[in-house]
Amino acid sequence: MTQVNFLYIVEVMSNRDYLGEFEHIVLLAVLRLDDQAYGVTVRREIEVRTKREVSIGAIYATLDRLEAKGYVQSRPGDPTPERGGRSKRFFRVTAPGVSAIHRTHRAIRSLAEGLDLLGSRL
Amino acid sequence: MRRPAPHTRPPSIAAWLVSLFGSADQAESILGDLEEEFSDIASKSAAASARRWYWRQSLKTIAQLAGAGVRNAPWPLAGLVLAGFLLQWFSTGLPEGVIVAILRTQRPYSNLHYDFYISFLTYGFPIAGDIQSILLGCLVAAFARQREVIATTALSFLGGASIGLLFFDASGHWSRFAYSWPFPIVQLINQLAIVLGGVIVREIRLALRKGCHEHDFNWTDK
Repeated sequence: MTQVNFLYIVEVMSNRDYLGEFEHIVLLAVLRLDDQAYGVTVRREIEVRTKREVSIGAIYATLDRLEAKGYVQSRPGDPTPERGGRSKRFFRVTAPGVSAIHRTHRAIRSLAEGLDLLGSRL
Repeated sequence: MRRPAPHTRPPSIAAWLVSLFGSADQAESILGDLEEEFSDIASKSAAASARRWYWRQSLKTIAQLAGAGVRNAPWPLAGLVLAGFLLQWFSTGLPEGVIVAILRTQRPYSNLHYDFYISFLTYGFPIAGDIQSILLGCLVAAFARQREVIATTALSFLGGASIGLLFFDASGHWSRFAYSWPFPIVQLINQLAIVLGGVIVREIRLALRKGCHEHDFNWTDK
């Protein structure tokens, strides 16, 4: 690939704002949990589905970034005794968030098209 | 589900450390999530393993929150830390100057306070240096809203690194500072005092915020 082509692809991708790997995972987890998505459930969903241990801090840092981009919205829940009287913060994916997921999936599908991934050394 | 024993509480120091980083709203929901999971783990396994889990999650969370705090506003934070560092650099020797000026006005030789004079010289310099560092930390934290502890920790690391350079001379060998053991200890305490200044400002802000919320609640309750 020539340097000009590579720089062009980087330019196009940065303008489109594709999701990072962890942003992608968190958005899908929130989408799966529907109206029950808050820190604990999102963390557990990711751990169960990806077999990857993640910290609450990583979830919140990512969700805050996604909220700043307008991909998720949050609302406070009611305080509960098992949480020491602290309230939950529920998240839901917005329409731009869903578009970002589709855009990222399309880009990955397009890049993977024609590649013999199953036959390669994995 | 079996509930944990009433005395099984999450480690309060870990919870306090988490509350120092990130915004107040973030800390509220994160600490709630941590406590919910802690209760769940404590109900299924030993309290010690639940506590270990809490500490591990807390330390990872602090690292994530600190990283996010830097990434969200890197340039204002860098400018503030640099300004604090320059202020620290140019005010070096100020506490010593103040102490010497005080001693001159007291004329200790002519009075019978020789012991006081000696103690003041021995302990006065490091204590004044610590007070100066706490004030510097407070000043930097006052401008670093929601990132008080991140800014002061970064400043103390920068200060510590610059002091570390004093341990080597121009040829890369140990300098005379490296052989004077109180010097690194005094400097280490000074750097910790900067972070303490940040913690003080953070705690005052959290207390004021809590007070405002309680006031609003009482007002709407009437």
